[in-house]
Amino acid sequence: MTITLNVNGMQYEQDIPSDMPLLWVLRDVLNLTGTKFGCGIAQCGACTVHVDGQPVRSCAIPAGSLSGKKITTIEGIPDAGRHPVQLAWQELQVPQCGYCQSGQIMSAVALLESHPQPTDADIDQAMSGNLCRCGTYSKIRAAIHLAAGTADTAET
Amino acid sequence: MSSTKPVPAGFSPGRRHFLKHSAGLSFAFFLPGMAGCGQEPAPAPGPASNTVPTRDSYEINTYVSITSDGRITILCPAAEMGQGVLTALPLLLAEDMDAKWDDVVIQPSPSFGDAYGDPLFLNMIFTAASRAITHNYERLRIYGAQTRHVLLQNAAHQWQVDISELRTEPSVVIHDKTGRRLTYGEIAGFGEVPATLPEISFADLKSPAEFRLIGKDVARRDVAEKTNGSATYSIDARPPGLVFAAVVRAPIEGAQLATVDDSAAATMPGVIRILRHEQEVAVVAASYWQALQARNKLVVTWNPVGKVDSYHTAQALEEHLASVREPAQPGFPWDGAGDIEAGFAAAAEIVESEFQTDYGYHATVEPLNAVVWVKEDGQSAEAWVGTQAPPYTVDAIARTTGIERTAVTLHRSLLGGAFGRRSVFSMDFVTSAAWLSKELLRPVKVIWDRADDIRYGHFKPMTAQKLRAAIDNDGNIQAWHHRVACEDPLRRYEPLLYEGWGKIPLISMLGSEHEAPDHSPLPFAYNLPARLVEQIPVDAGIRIYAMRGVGAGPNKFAIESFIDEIAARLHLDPLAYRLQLLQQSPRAQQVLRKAAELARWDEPREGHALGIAYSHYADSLVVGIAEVSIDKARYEIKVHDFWLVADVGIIIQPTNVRAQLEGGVIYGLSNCLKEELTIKNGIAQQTNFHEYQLLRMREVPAVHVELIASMEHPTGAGEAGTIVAPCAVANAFASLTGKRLHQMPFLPPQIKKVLGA
Repeated sequence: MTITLNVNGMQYEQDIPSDMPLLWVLRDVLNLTGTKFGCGIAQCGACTVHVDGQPVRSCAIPAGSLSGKKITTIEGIPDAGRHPVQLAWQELQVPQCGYCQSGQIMSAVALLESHPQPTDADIDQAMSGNLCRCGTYSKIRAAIHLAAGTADTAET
Repeated sequence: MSSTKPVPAGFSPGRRHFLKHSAGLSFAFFLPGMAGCGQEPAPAPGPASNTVPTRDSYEINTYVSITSDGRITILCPAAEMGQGVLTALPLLLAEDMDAKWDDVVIQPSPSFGDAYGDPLFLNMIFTAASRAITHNYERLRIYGAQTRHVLLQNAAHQWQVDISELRTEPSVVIHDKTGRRLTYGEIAGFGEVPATLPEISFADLKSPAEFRLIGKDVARRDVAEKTNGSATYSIDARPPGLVFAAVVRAPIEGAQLATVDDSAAATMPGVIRILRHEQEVAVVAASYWQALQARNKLVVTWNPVGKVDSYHTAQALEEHLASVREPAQPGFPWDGAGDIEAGFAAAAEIVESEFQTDYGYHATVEPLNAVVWVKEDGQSAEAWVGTQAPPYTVDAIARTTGIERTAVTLHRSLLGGAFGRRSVFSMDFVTSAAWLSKELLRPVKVIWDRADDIRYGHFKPMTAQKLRAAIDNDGNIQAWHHRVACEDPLRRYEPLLYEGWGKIPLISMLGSEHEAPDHSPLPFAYNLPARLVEQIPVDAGIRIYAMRGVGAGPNKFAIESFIDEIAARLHLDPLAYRLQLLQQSPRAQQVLRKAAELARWDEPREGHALGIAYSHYADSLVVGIAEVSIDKARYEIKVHDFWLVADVGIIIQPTNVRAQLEGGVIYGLSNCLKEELTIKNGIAQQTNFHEYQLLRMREVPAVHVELIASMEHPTGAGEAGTIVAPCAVANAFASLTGKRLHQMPFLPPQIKKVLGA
């Protein structure tokens, strides 16, 4: 069926099954491959996007449920690659293999929207759905504090 | 494939490396492109001598070309899987070339070529075993010096002065006498490549006091793209006309298809074709999700394989243990010295213990996948693969499609994690895309979903370990007998390396030896003058392979636990005892002392305890200390802090080395605290991350890494943390509770049992 999606400020009309997860619409139909596939059951967080500003695992959301909603992917967060979170990630050299990092950043950006001065407990809560097999967790935490300007008050 | 005399198994650094004249070096011709996306060059016939360079690209040797606007392209031979080689290896060359780092552009090297390969891996590019820096350190610096020398020769010729009057600053040649300067870019405009490239030896290289780049952090070249969604992995490749496929493969190695019912799958939306090839069934569709939905409707049955059909983890653990206990069961001697029987006969005391380690799953976040495009005439192909072993990938595609290796162009994608899995000889995650594309003559992307990725995993092998030591009244170990029951992956899964390395169980037994590969003594190994270390071979039929840490993970768990047990028997502190066993190595003692100091080893902690572990795997001297407590309600170990001190020789990029060490610790803690793989009827039962659990943000300890300043030849940091982390945790547990964990992973049922609850 024809589905209209608002992604990164652009309207797309696509003929796709309504139960196709948003993840695959983004990757295979709209050619936005920054959002990654890791598990398909919302256990790894690699597919995290924002829907109306909220972090969502796009592998578990059918495209048909998203009409009228504003979808933002890693490609579409403000400042075209120079969001404070992205700059903090670069300054602290956070990524290793990098495959989980789009999802990590999307979760982190959403966290800072709702908790501009997150505590470590807030970070645990918001970020524990995002797996990193390379083990960059401590740098992710430090980068979130850096972006929030809470680096001095961080426990780590 | 080039085949040279195989080098005996070993990881000894520090071989001198002389580059002779250019005949025999393949002359690379390549196009600049995005990082992670290289074009396979057509090998040029004949020697690269007296070639008139184009003004667009001045190619000095197999690694470096310069454009007249000063852009310097340096090739990286190793695969980038997060360990930072894409930056660090070209940096080595740039150092001795005296290249301005901002002028440097980096590309992956071609897949073949002795200039790029690793002598240990039969001269193939094979990024594994913590070797990338250690085996490239001299070679790349020599290439850099050679490049600089050619630039100096050209400047000297241009100015008609003696080369001895010239010096360089980054990217510029200077003649102080006349004040004349020529940038490398300007030289590229007229420079020639001599028929005989200059011979450079290690002694000609910069001294560490002159380093501009080595030892000082530069921003990694792949970080920015990994923060904005533009980094492309093979799973992201989208050549025109791409179709997608999901596959069914043998759930047990060697299984054969019995029946295939594709009637439900065939009617699913988006399905283009359903194809069978050997023991695989594939659904090809217009999108991956549609391929997956249809693939899940296939009903496939398999013929029995054999003994492995009734293979269960619990029973396998018992069988491994039985074979390691059975004295009549012969072993393959892996390491030995002196007379252990005499040592045991004369022993004041004998200590014995047994340990077991379970299978483990690599769990890369990017599931295995590949894109292969066999062209319309069937005579050539392109492929996008994240691979640790490009020659294996190209050859697997060539074998599968019948296309000549030289007609296969491999784009060496970034790897979304590897940990050993992406180097398997069979390239099982690539061949499906190859035969599908050959059939369809269009690009095909095959992705394994997470359940496939676990089901078709090649696991870290299960082991059982038996240790026996004779100790004298001064705590010296007069005899040491270590038996390891394990299957080694080389025999069944690595035909080239198995033959090339002399049919030895290298992968599984690494970390259990106490000498150098050439049998010379290792000062930084425990002093065990009379010892026998044996592999008791197992043939289980479960797919196995090398995983981060390889055999050193399981073997050091046994060894480091046993050392603590001996220390306890002697009423010696585990740190003090290790200092004693390593008294012939001030270097090792320094690492131990530093770790103990950072962790405040002697400071008692309420409800917490420390455990220590030492490893010299890959000649990197590493000590880990874990501080743990126990959640007695949930029977879980909580790790509060982890200290890791490492002497890895000269440090190329400090921040990156720390990241590798810490990342390795997290990987090892995840292995031992969370990861459970249960095999039933020969098949892994876990299907996704809700069942095979990995360590998460809220569970990680604070990890404190300290690097020892060292002038030794650089050695690898990628696996060290993974090896020591579980050992330190097990020793901390024993220190806290007085009870020992003999089995890895340390999951609640074992902890409950051990605590006697």
